[in-house]
Amino acid sequence: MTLPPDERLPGLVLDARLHLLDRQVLDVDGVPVCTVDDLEVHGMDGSDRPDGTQTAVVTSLLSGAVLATRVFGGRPPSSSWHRIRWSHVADVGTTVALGVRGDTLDVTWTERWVRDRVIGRLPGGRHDPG
Amino acid sequence: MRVVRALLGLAAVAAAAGCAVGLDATPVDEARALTSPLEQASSAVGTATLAAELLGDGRSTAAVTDTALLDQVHVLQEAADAVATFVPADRTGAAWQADALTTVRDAQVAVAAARGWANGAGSDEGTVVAALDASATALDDLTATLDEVTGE
Amino acid sequence: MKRVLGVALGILTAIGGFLDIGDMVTNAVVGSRFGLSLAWVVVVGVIGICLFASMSGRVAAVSGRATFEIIRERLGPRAAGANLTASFLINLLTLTAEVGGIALALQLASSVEPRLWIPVAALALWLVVWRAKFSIMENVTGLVGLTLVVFAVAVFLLGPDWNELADQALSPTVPAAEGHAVYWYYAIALFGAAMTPYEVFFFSSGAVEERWTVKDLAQSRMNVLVGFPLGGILSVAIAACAAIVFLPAGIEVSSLSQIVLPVALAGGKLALAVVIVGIVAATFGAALETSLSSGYTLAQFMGWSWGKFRRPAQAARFHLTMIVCILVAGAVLMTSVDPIKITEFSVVFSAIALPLTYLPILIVANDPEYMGEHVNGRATNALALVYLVIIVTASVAAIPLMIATGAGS
Repeated sequence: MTLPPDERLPGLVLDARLHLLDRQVLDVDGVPVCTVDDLEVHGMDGSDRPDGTQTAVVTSLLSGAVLATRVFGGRPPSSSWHRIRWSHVADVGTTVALGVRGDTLDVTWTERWVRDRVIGRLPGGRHDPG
Repeated sequence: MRVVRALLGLAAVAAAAGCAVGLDATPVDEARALTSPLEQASSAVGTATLAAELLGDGRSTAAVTDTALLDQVHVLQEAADAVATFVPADRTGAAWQADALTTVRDAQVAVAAARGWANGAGSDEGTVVAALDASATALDDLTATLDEVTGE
Repeated sequence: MKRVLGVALGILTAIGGFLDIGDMVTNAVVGSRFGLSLAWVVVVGVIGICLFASMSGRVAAVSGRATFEIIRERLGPRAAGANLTASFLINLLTLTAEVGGIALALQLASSVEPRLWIPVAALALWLVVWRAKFSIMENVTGLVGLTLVVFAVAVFLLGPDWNELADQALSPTVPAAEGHAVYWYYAIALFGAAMTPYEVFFFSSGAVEERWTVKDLAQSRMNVLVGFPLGGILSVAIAACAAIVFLPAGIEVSSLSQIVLPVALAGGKLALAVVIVGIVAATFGAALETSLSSGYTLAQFMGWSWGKFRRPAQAARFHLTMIVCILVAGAVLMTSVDPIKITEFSVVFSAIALPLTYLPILIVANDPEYMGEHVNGRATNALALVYLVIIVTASVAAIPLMIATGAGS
């Protein structure tokens, strides 16, 4: 992949690797949702495996099982991807802020499962610490 | 290549086994091997004496002294194991080992008696501390004898 | 009073970090074998932990990001994952040792077998993690842990030969009976014990729990500058007690019960009671610190919702992690393994994991995107680079020395 010539643009320039990958994702209430484990990138011509020759856009943030492929290599079956659509992203700073509530997203299913099956059932689990 | 490795491995095992049984152990090595558990035992007896005296002076509680003595029982057990598993190369070594075993066992008896006293079973502070002191002296004497051999 | 309680986070972090079961035993062992000739390592360690804890506290206050989020973001999933694996295991090892330490301390108070105390200690630990407010937790354990000052008082009451102690501390030499390798092995163990990574994980996450902002930077600095030196002074006091009472008698420390004997000798039953309360509080504080750190590190690496300021149900995976860790620690201890042995390993292993923790903190503390105008100054960076060299050296030398010396025996 060749990098585009280094031009100083007036706007905010984001490097996907530097500013998106491994950043904390917060929902609209500031609650942590996940970390950006990987990105889904589509070519403008519709291909889902852009090879760098065409303009590509980030379509989703990925989290969950894809982390294993970042660590050990390979490509996970797309059925196990948990996506956060790029259209939900409200802001990118030292964290990635979403414009929706984390509870409504697919990626937080483990959190909900643990809450409903384990933690929420223990006495005091749903009360403020006193 | 595999054969070479296997042979090397065998050689290493043989060497280790040889060392373990003390084939070529000199008297100095033997004395050194016994000094270390004896020092451990001295340390345990010293701690036990301190713990017993503190209880006698009313500066320590029965629970703390009891726990300290119990811990030293374990330390002495370790020392006794080290002496008992030692394999002497000749008669001198065997005699040292027998002496060391006796002194460490005496130390165990003294510490156990101290613990009995700390928990209110018979005896009195004077007897207990005297027994611990006697045990400490015996350990020191034997260590000194061995130190003469090692020249330390 | 508010000012006093304002440094509670630093005091709890330092007492849990410096006066946990591992440090108490290591310091007493070192005192009984080497006198104060390794006290300089504690000084080096205190300066190092002050430097990096204040950096991580500043990053947390300015950017709101705790240390392990930063480690993940800067090192990527592979290196950060390696660090997580190491830190998490060390944490679990330390937690196990601390729960064992609570049980041993309660044995001193009751002479009831420690195995019977382990379930009690584990349950109490979980209840505090589950229900207590962060501020109450840190204030109570921090203040009660302060009773360990009795070690410093005991040094004075024992009326030692100050010249000799000063001589040991100021012109350190390896005692004749000990080898150089053993001396350096214990130097690394003390250094690792002082700089244990869980202290910065806990301190920076605690800063987020307490919602520190730029306005609290002065308070953060106060916490570091009061807490850690205090912890350092007390750990030297423990070594000094052992050096005064045990070194001349040729007694080698191998158990917690020995550590309190010099205090009893100096101050009698009252001092003894105070020191036992202090040890229970300090080991309990360290157990809280390590169980929370296990939750913090994993949750921050994975991006989960975490924090004691949330209801447990709103940080479900964070709380589940801690429950599992506490259960594992309790289960391991019920096999009658010796907690003191575990601490010896955890202290040395933390020395190995140090570089992967402290390098990312240094990098982010220099990143204007996170820090704005609060990036590191030149002097801080220069000192931090010196420490990185020390940290890497200690980390590389730890395992070979451990093997060569048979773990200091």
